Amino acid sequence: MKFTLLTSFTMWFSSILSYGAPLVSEETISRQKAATTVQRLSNGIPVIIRNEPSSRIALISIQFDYGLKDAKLGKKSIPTVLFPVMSRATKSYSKEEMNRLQEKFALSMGCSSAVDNSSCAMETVDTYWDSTLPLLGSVVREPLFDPSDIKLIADRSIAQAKKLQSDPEDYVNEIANRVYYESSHPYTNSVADQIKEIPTIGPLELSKAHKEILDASRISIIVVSNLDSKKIIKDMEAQFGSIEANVGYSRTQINYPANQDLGKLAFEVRDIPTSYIRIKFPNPSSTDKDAIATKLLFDILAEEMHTEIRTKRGLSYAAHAMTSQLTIGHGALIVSTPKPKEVVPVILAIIKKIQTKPIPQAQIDEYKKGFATAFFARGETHGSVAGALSNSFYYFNSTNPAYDFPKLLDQVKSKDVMRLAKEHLKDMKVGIIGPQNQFDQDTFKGLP
Amino acid sequence: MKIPMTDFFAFKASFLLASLTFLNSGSASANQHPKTAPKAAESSSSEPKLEDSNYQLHRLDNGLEIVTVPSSKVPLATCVLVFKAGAMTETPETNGLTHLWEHMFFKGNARLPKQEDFVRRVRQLGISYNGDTSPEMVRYYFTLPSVHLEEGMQFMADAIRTAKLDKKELEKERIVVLNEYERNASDPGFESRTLRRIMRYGDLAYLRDPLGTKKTILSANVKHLETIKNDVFVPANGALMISGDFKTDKVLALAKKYFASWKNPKDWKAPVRPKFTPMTESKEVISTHKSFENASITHSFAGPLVGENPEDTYAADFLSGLLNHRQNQFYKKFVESGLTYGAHCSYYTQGKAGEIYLSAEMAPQNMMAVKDQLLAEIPKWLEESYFTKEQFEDVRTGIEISRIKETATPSAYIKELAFWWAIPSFTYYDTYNDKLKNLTFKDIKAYVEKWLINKPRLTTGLVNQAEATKLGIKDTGAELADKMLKAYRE
Repeated sequence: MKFTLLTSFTMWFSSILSYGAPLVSEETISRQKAATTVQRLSNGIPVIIRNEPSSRIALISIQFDYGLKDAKLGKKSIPTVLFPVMSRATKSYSKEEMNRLQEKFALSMGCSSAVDNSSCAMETVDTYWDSTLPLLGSVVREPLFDPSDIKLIADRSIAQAKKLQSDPEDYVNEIANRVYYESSHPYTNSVADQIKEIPTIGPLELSKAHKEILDASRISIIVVSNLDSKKIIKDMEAQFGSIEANVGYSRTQINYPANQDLGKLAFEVRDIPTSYIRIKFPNPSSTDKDAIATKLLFDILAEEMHTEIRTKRGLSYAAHAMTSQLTIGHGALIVSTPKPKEVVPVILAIIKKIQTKPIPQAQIDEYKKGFATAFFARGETHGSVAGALSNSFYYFNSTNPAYDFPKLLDQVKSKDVMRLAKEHLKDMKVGIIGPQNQFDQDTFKGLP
Repeated sequence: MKIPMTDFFAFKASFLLASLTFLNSGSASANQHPKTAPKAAESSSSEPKLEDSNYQLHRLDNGLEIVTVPSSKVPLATCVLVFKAGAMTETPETNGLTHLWEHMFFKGNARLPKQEDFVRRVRQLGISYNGDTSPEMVRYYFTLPSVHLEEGMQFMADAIRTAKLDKKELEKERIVVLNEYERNASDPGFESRTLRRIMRYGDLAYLRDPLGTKKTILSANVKHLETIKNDVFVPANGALMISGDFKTDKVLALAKKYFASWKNPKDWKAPVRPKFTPMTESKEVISTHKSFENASITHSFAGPLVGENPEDTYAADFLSGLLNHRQNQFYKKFVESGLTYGAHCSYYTQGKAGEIYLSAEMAPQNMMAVKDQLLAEIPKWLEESYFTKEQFEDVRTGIEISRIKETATPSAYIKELAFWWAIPSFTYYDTYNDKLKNLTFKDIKAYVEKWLINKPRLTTGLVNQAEATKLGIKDTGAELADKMLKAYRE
């Protein structure tokens, strides 16, 4: 279980009012903030507690500032193997015992890695909290890197990578990355490299990597539950309070890709009936002052893509846009179509329109509503609440940005959207997978 | 992202749906209609205790059922309009057009005739929408701020009652649906799944294929769509289900306001389609694909129909839970050992076609061994020692915990309830967890004997082409696929 997206927060807006009124009232935001506290363990680990009194579900997520970005070239797949192996068996709980207890308590528990950070998380109900927390503590502190477990996870990871190759919709991102990231960039690890590297990863490397991440300076804890906060802190201290901090630790610096020499376009032939296109370009990071406005820009772009390509012209089943905001950000325009030659000019027209024709403010405010609904709907679960708080804390060292999102969204003006479209809808790289007869390099020449 | 995603192949595994909590319903609304009497086929189930359920069921005079699940967790509301429709209500000529109709739902209507108006209204109301068509159910749904619930219900009523089945719009949407078809066809498993359906159901395979064929999509016209509308998208065949932050009385009044005048076609009756014939002999086919990197095997057996053999469906779901238990022999042998990347015995709760799948995904070199070993495992399920008392207890605990989790998300829960309403029925739903909790080894044994032991099966496999050549695995599907798929699509 991994919660990476900046998703939403329960009970945020008590009222969506008419135009001009805030998306979420100040009172509601304050109430949500009041339900959240940040405390620190004796070793400095921050514990973010979100009280949800109406639910029996208890979720805890241990976040590590360690992910793909931190793995060394040639061993980029270590996080992919390390985290799933951690929850297989520990020094205190054999594989058999771990399985027995997970089944006994119907426990959802697992570890997984992502680009900037990774996590071990557990979801249970309040009455099983005391019985299950020691398992998660043990998984984090003292995993047993048994060679048979490593082999099992390695085989599954390779199978997963191969499966991704089979699916053109997923694989087109991999193709776009060939021209978007230089091979040494911290954010990239090709499927081919994964398949080659994974079998070479053994217990020694995993133990070394685990020692690196078991560092109070890299860890934060998020708990969303109805449990008393004093009890939570006491329990966290018992499980994680003895983890030492590496005072010299500083976060890996990430630069935007230096991809000028990689070419504009990567194409792979596949004998399928439709082409999959992914246009990728740099975007503001999660901490950029324009991050929220950029999210809105991409919501507008997504609707424009859907309307102009699918609804009006019937050129595609799936045409959309998205922005990914991590330590660095990227945007993507995504389409599957048997007619790339007809679709690309439409994309160009959309970009030009957004860059040059101001959208009336009333319409911008309408976009905010839809954006807010989708955003908040994801906050119905403890997992997404924890994900939002975790990301906010990871990037801002505070949970407030998560709650202040509606206020920032309220402030976005039409001119901001146009400015950001001019500033960021450029330096585009393209990945395509599809039949040869649908591909013509010249089609993509005009992309900024 | 507003991409109506048609969930063609992800049929509901009812075991996963097992976990739905019954909360206090609060006082019944004054507008509440009496609970529908169980249908004949369901009469073996006991009468549901509505007062213990967290939903309320009402019915308008036109037959449209209204289901409400109030929750103040977030200030949003989710509306689902669900119909007992899909491939199962189509004919060979209209196969795939219920799904095409689903697309037309999200276009213009009498109140919002232009597509631009429709899109603008979606924006104004902050609507996040989607829909799906499966063999036995069609759902249209959206989530919006609860303060806009009335406008949303009116929007929903306009879309279903006065959808503009315009020729020009149909032409555009036809191409979109063809692209959707092509995206599905780009999946390496597409042909293999279609072949399995044809081998299993023969001439009636279309009744399990909501996507249809290119031929039927290309030949669709407005008249076809109107016929489908009158056949299945009528109030007596549907339910409006709403969860979220609202007062039930108010929502019921709104439902009356916008849906009560919706009329059924004169003398409307649910479409009756042919029944599937039982499998009489076992068949096996292995296909290869150059882009499919791993290998998969599926043994499919005819399973119970939820309306005819409800007791067996409980055992089917419980057996799936037992075999997924990490300490069970099956899991240890096939998953924990690394022999496969995942192995399951799953049952899909359906009313018209019972399907039991014993399946696994694995490395190509393990494929043929796994194929035989999976089958060899079935007789062992008749031995009591295969399952421990602890495993039975753990599966029961899992059902309890899942209930708590799944009802915690109102927008997702109401969609799940739509499944229960459309396919098994609420009567089945209301007693489901108790039925599962009371199962014993004897019930599991009886189920295995009745549906799996020495029963005809259809075995289908898919493996990477190059690996198959290396391993000497013969593609027995190519010729058959060529012949059968061609005939099916023509």
